[in-house]
Amino acid sequence: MQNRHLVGFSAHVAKILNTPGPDGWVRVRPFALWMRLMRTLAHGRDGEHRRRILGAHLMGLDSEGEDAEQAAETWMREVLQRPLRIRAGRQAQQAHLLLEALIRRAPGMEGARLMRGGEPPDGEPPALLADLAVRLGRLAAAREIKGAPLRLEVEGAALPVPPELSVWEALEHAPPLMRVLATPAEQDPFFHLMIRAMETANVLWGRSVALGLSPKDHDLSVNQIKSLQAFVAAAGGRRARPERAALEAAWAKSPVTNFRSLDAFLADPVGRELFAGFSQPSLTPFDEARDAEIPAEESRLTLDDETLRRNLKILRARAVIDDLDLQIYDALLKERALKDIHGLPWARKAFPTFDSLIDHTDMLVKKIDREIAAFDEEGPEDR
Amino acid sequence: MAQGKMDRRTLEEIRDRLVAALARARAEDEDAAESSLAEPRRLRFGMLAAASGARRLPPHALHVREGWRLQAEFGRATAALAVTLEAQGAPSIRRLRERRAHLSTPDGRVGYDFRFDPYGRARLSLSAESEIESSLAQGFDVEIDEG
Repeated sequence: MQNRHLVGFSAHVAKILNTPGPDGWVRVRPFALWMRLMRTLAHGRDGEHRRRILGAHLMGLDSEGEDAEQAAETWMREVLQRPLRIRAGRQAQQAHLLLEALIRRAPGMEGARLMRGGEPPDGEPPALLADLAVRLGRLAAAREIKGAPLRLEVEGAALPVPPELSVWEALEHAPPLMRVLATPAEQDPFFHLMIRAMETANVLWGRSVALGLSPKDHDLSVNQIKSLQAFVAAAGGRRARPERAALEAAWAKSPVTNFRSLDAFLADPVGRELFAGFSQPSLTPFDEARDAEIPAEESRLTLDDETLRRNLKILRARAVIDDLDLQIYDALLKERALKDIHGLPWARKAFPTFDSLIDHTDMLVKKIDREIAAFDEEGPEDR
Repeated sequence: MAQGKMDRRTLEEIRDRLVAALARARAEDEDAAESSLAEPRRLRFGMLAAASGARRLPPHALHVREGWRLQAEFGRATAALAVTLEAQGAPSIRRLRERRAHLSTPDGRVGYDFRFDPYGRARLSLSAESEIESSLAQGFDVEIDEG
């Protein structure tokens, strides 16, 4: 399951980066964008972002005003500005894909592509990207390079790309002019890249918030926190003063990495925080809070709408989804806003309220998630 | 019926496209609300200085809403009623400093254009008439101009 609040925030950022000025072009002004995102995180959705993305209440910064903006700025520095690394055996990471997608939106740069290895072209960068090439070069020079350097090939030139790049660095190195992505078929792959980049950057922070731990008050690694989630799940969730036998059984099944015993874990500040009943509870339902498993490979959408529809019909034939699901999915591929879909006669009939349509779309995601989980259990031969 | 093999990656992509399309469609729905939050324009502070029916001003009143905190202090002299408005905290100061604004009462007795200083403060001097004070005591608005 995904953190739907983070998905919503990512979509908000993607939307800003697809909103044109009066001349019809999209321009990114980094400082204004930074301030705008900070305000949205601190105050957006009636404080829901503050609690469910930032976990401000866990850090003791949940009050409105300065505290909230402090929490937002901390998240932006530690998540949005955290350089992401390329996983072993991969060519790029999620922030690279985001940068590539942004640069492809500059006029005439549709063919820009990330490359690693081989002989780079030696042409001059296009005038529109000359300043960007210099700034990226400075950033790449400041970062240690392991293995073959990465580059963006565009119009016979090679723009240097640092192997470690944060989501924010991808955003602030957007080209000076970008075309608007006009149709859902163009927008959705960009929204996907933004969502996945944010999820990748937020993996440690998000898991911490999901467990009800202040992300700033522990130094657990991603692996430790994953094993901690498994332990808490085995113990039946977070409870103040749970029965010893339940904790021992959970420990036998899923011990927390780097703790030699249950007692050592319970004596640690993290163990005390989670099971002594003194701390703030998590606001995110536990089963929803296991942040998206970030796949080992970088992810982008590649299926065209026709192939997608063909595969959806297969899912319908297998009764994974029903006719109404199929209709909703099909409408989403065409319509701009969910309110437009709700305005369609069949949708109005099936969903008397807008909220009931939203609930149904959430269920649709869960149906496909269940099918993916079943795939893992049964294997591809049964699919 | 259409049957066929489907690999895990295709299933994931069907889910990921759905998530992205839903997020995009919801962002479209929410755009107006989010952008009004991000770029505040002509914000109205409904500052109830005292309980309904009061005729005298209290020493001060505080308006708080998300990200905005503004205090009003009232001082009386022989011929003037001094109203000091002051942004509280860095976020509010950042938003209000050097912004033009307008103070008004719903009954139209008070209308006063002013500008916040670089520290998010403004000092207004009103006529010390009992009608003015009574009007303010019923509550008043501070409207921040665009730009």
